Amino acid sequence: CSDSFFDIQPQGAASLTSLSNKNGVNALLIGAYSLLDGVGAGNTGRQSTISNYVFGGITSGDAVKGTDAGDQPEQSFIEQFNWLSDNTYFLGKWQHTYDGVARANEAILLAKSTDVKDMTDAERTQVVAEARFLRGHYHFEGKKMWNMIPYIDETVYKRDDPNSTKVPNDKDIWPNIEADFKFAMDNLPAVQAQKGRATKWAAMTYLAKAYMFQKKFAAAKTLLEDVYKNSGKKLVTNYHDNYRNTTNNNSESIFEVQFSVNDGSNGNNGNAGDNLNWPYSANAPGRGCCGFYLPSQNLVNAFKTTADGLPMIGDKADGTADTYNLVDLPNDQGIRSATVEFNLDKTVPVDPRLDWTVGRRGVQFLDWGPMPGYPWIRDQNYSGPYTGKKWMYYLADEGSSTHSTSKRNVNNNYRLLKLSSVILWLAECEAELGNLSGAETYVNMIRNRAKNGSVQDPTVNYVVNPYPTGTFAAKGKDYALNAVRMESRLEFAMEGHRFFDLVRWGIAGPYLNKYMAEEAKNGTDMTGRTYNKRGYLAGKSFTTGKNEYFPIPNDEILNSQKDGKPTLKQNNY
Amino acid sequence: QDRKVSGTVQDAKGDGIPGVSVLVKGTTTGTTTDGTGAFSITVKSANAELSVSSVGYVAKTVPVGNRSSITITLDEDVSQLSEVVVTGYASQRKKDITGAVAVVGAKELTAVPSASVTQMLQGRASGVTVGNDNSPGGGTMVRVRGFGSINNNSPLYVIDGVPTQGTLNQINPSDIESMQVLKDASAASIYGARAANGVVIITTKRGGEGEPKINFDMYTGTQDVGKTLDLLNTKELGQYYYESEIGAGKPAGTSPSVQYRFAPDGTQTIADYIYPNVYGSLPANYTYTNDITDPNLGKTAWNITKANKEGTDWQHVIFGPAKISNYQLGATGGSKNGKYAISGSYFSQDGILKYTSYQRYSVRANTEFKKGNLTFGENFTVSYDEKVGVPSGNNNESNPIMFAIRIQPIIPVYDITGGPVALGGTNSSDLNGFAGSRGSNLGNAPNPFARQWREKDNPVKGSHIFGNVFLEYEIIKNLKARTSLGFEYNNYNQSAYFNRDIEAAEARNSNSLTVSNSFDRAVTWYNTVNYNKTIGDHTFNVLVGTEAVSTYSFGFNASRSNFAFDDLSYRYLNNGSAAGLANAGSGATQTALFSQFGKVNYSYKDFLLADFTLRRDGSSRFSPAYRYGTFPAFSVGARLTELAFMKDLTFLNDLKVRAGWGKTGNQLIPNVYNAYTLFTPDPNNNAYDISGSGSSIASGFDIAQFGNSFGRWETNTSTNIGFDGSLFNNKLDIAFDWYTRTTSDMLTQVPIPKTAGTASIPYVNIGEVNNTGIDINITYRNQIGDLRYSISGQYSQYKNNVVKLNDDPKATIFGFSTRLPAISVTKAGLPIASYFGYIVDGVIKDDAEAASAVQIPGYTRAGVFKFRDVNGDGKITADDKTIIGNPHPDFTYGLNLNLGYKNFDLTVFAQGVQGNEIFNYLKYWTDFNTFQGNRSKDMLYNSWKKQGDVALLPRLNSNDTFSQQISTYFIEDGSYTRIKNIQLTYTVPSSVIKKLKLSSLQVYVQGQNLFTFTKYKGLDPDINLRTSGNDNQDIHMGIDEGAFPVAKSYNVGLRVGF
Repeated sequence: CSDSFFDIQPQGAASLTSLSNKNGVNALLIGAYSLLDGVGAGNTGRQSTISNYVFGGITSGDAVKGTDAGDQPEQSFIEQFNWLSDNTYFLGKWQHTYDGVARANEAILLAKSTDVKDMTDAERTQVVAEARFLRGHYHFEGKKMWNMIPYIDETVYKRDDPNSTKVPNDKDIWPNIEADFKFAMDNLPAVQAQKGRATKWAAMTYLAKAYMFQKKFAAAKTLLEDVYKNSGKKLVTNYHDNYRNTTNNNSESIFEVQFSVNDGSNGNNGNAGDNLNWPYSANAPGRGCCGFYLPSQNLVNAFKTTADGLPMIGDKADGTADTYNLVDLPNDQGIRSATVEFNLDKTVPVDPRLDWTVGRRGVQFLDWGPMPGYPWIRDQNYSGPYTGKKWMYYLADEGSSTHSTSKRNVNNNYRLLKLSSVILWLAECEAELGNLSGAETYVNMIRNRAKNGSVQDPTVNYVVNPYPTGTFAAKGKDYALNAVRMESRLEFAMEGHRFFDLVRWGIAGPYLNKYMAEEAKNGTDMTGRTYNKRGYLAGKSFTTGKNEYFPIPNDEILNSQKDGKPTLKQNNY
Repeated sequence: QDRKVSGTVQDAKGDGIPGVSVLVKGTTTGTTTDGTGAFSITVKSANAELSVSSVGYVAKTVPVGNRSSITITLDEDVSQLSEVVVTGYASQRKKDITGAVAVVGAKELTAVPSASVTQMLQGRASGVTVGNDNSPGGGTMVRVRGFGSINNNSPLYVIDGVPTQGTLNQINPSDIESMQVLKDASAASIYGARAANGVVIITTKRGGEGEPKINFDMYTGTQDVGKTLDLLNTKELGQYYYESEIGAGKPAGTSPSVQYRFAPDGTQTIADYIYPNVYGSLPANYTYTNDITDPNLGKTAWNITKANKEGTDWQHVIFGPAKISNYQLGATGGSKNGKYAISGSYFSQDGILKYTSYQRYSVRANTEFKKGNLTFGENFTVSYDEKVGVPSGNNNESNPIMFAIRIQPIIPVYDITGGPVALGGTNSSDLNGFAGSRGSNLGNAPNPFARQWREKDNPVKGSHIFGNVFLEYEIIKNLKARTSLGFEYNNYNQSAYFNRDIEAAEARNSNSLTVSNSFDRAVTWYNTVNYNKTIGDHTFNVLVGTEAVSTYSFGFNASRSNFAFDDLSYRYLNNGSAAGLANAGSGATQTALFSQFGKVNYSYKDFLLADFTLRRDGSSRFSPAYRYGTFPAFSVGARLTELAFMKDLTFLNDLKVRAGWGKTGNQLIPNVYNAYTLFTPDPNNNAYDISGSGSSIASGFDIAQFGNSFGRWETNTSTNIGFDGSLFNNKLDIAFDWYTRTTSDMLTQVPIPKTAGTASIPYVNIGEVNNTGIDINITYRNQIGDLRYSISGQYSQYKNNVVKLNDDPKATIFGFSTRLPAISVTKAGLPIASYFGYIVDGVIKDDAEAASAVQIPGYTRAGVFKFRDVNGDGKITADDKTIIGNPHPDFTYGLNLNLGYKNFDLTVFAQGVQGNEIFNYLKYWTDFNTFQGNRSKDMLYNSWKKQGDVALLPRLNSNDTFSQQISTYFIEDGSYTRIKNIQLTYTVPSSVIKKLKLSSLQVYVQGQNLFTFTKYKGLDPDINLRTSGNDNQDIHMGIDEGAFPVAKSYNVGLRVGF
């Protein structure tokens, strides 16, 4: 029998040799970009969706898990700080993090390979710079989740040695993340022909974000000012333009995760990681599903303003002196039928961003008419009366913005880095560095935009104003910090940043324990009946010194064994 | 002087035996009997003797004397020792076999009607474990002597010399003559490379010399569901929800859902309509619609649905009586120069799960022609089948069985229209009129019956060709050369249509059609030379040969959505919207295998028997340097009864002791391209809209798999020691085997950290698994007057142990994740797929016990599970998970009882499994606070209520999300004994038959699966693999995720010989 009988090449796949050219290098780079949305790493997608709604949302006081009690109990465990290291959400997120890293490394290795003959040095450098931007991003996602994680670069990762990445998590990897963003910043163009690609400004902003997480405020400020002044980015007039597909990649945007629909895939590129986070009714955006990720009563209350249009905050930097949560904003909790007459009291002054962030009964929901309350909520008794809004689409955009077979797959991009973040980080830097009036100026830029932009429902009493000049200076640093933090909360609510911010500010413990204690208490509904808000949060607590970071997945520790010992060390669990 | 002698050869009952060889002793003059057992032969003298022999009968020598007409009665050879058994490229007398071989005859096999011959093996052969899928046309798990590997443990099937590794659904069981299971290496190693999981040899029916025999066989019957789960009715479920809310600390009078109102005193009111949700009568302006795109849907238009206040018994909605029938017409016959066996059959089985079904048409032709020293023949079967499987698959939480368990009883089957006209309703649409969970608080389980109805027209259509042509040439006497070209071809097509389900909570946004096509083919060419020689007392049989196998398979699918009409005649791809266009076709799977082999059988005076086998295989699945494997084996046997002193032991008719050792290989790594590192493009997972267009993607690549170019054969080394004995005038047969077999260099996907990315892990040769066990077969048969009886039993046990996975003693391979994390783990020192979870020490009975228990913050109090702190660190963490059960049985058994009296025969067949544990995942849905679904009676009535209760389940609390952790609560004893078959057969006496001008006539009635004795609480304890036949399923065995239960059935059958 001749060897040719056995000479069977793998069918339907490419070898590294076939990819060793410019097209192949670019295709690997696209593969690395592809995981930005959090979907495609072989996990469920929702475990690692870019919105981080599980890890950064339902843990943060801004949102509850939603749906009913028994649905996805592993999310409930996370929401209730019952964090076991075998929770599959942790493993899913970890898996995605390092799949992104591996894809970036593959692109870098091939871009540097001498087997690739048809690329110039400049082209290679650009690929490496984009790939390092992505590698920095994926590691950043892991860093904020677990703190101590291994850094895997192209010198560590070896395709032929499955044990090559068994690296201990005994070093702080911030320097490595910074190095990746710096390299990207130094080697990327200011503008890219394709909107999805990372630019110099994206890398600079991300580097600044890494500094913010390390409290390197001076260094961050330098970079942020550069972006603010020189990037050419401008705040869009209408706050809501950051949350609609027709205004994807707008002038405020620094780096967006690109979503697409009707692109020949099965919808997986259209925010598939958030595909459970839609109203329960078929008359609603998404056309009926699951009802996850709902705004908390506490978040809704935070949008209440004083008659002067200012947030109801106190002078403690951890927010524990804030007063917005003493009285609940009127709502339809306990009204169990869409057909019962319900008139929302719209006279209480609120920040207009509330109704671009939260769906509530009696208020216009994009162009779908007034949100009808109960039918859109899977189990109001359990989850409360609100629904999210920012990732949803207009009825008018149904079809162009939605995937043909599933309307829960949409192309409303996730704005990962935007100028509004840069401005509020600048405000934070200034406040931290003692320049309170500078901080106030930046905060007021954001508030003025909220004041002057379009509103969702003109029948609501929207009142929002900038802080009167000198307020921060007069009330002191703690108040200023609290004001900056509140502004970040209002501006970026339901975008998955909040928990990580609470941790980096060092206020997660007092803030979240207050939130849970209050949210667990009974409220009074519009019919005068006592109702249980989120009773399941009773007795739940955030343990300072432990819950700042998630447990490293048990499987990973098990699989990191080398010479009979695990190379990974568990966090404080 | 020559004279003609005529006669008849008959059996003990006086029926003629066809095809009996009649030879004038010491001459070459011979003939065979015709269809009625008659013969005529010419003898030269009155001293002549006739040697009369036939397979299955004790040979006899009869003096002719001066008779001109002789009636010869042959006794059935009940010991079957002289039976000739096909053992791989050759055949052997059963009495000469020294390896471990189980033989199952056609009669036993086909006693229990079934679509697939593999299902029929259950309980029939010792050492063979069979798990049934139970769904019509579903797959079967066959495991020979335990689980040798964690990859694929399916045995190799060889049908008329052609190997295959499928479900065998395409073979009509009635065409099978016999089946041999080669269990140990010494028997199986002739199939070397693929024999590690055992080899099942199937021989189909051939023609014999004699007049044509035409047979018609049929049976028909009805099947129905057995046990169902004890779930709550509408009122009880409301009560459960209410108590759960109160348990969560909500005030008395809280309404737990919109359908149930509770007064502060606990009085319950149930809504009159559930969609829209209305108490009392419907507002006048509400209209009915069955159009999901109606803009008023949910506002003023509804698919109006009344509440079923008594409760829908969903399990009896989805299940129902189902027909099974089989018709077969066959002819056999031939002459010295040509033999034939042809048959046509139709098999049809509806599933007890309504609208599931399996139908098969098959035609077989086996022919053989002889001219001089040449024999040429073919065995071919062509079949076509259609299978409407379980929507979403068997053993899947999204299948109708699970949905029937989860859906609330308040939901009726139909909305107010009563359903489609074809189902007795008045709805204008053939696909609408169903009730569902669309209203609030009705959970998310869709109406399972609606799914079954809507997906009834989505069959998988299969076409199959299987068979071989062969040529045999007798070069000189006893030296035969044979060549055989085998061919297998399977083609599958499915048009799966899914329409919009207006009534479902999570409704489909658009209808869609997916068309899938796939085909596979295998070509096997083997050549053997066989030489037989007896020198004095020494007999040799030498076989050498080569074999080449090449396989190829390929599939693709395409789908479109937004079809304007749902009509069956409209369900073609072009009619869908191109916007929803999707298509996919993965790479082809292509393999090649080339082998050389040889075997020597030696016997000395019928006393000493020895076999030696050597096979060398080369496989394309391994890189050139590691391509070849060599697999030797030998066995010896001694028939002790041939020893002089043993001859005095008259009670002992035959005693053979056997011992064998050998190696076999396994190349069945699921990834045929394991040696290569590969990159693939995938629009779903590595493409990206880099241009920001919102509706287009740039295609990307990522690493799909890490290659292992050092992969080589998995080796299975086995030792077998056994004996076969016949005692008391061959009335008692005993076969006993002890074996140990170790798979080394096991191809294992040892998990690597995810820090390396998600490219699939290569299979590397490091694991080692041992199975040790015994197989026993005992048969006793006797006759008292007219009463014939026999009892036979088979007993098998194995102990499975993973010796190592890799050099890391803690290396762990997890099974699949369900809604729960992975339930099964495979690691060194344990059986494959052991259950892994927390230990629950009951429910905490009171506050005092709660205070002393290990605290789980926010959970621990009276009336919740007491999780055990296994590592004693004072807290409950993932480190407290431990091994909590074993899916492997202590032993399995089969028991067969045959009673015959005159023309009546009664057969009882029982089969069972002892000592295995089942992970009852159904309880996750029925016994805990998961989704707004139905619950078990246990949960309402046997949960903790008050201080001091010793309860089965934790207190009702709608906020409890913790109790359903993987724990010992889910583990149940899976032992069962099942009366698989009871059959009464009446054979019409030959006197009557002759009048009817028939040659034989039998009728029978049969009851299948009438009794099952088990403590298992799920629907059925016979849990098959998740997707049987697929790779890597064994690491997740024994988990009941909504398995199709076995049907009880009643059949009548008829066998007519013309």
